[in-house]
Amino acid sequence: MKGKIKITAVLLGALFLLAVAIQAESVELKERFLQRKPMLEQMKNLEWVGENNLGFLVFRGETGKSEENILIVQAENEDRKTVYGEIAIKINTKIEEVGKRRAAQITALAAVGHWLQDEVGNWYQKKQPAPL
Amino acid sequence: MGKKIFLLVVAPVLLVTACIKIKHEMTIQPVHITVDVRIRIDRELETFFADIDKAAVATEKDNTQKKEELQ
Repeated sequence: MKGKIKITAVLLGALFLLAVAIQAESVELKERFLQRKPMLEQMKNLEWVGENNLGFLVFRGETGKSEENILIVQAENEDRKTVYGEIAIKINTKIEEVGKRRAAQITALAAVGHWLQDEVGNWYQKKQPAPL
Repeated sequence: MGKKIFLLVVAPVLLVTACIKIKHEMTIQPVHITVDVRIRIDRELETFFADIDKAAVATEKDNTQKKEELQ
């Protein structure tokens, strides 16, 4: 009987530690996104990078493709992939589906002039919304 | 005699109706599931990225000097 209680306690403790670790990872991820945000916004403003239809950043050409910038974009995409993957597992869907939904959100939030990819795969620059 | 006629008329009718198959079409279900999944994905994404997306506008204004750094 005591053995069973001990095992249950150990399992509960392990679950608690796992939950804490997951939470900490999520906080770290958010911090990294926030740190990179200003640099990425500038790269988008300069039309060096665009947002594709799977929720990832891609270089539009060779301009601005410095070693440092490549690393920033790669790190951003890696972290995005982690988030999409976690959501996909949680909801029991494909990672591509999550990416596509995020791409739609990014499109809605994007600033005028930023490069975006539509569902078919065509690239376009976000335009000023037409006046009502 | 009347009962016999009644049975002769009713029995075939009952047999025919007993053989009628009703087919249920459930084609609406996958659409519901797709929409439900999309809503759940959107909710999860919004929960995670809410702070990051909100911060974007503020940091954009505060970090114009980063542009020079990049160039």
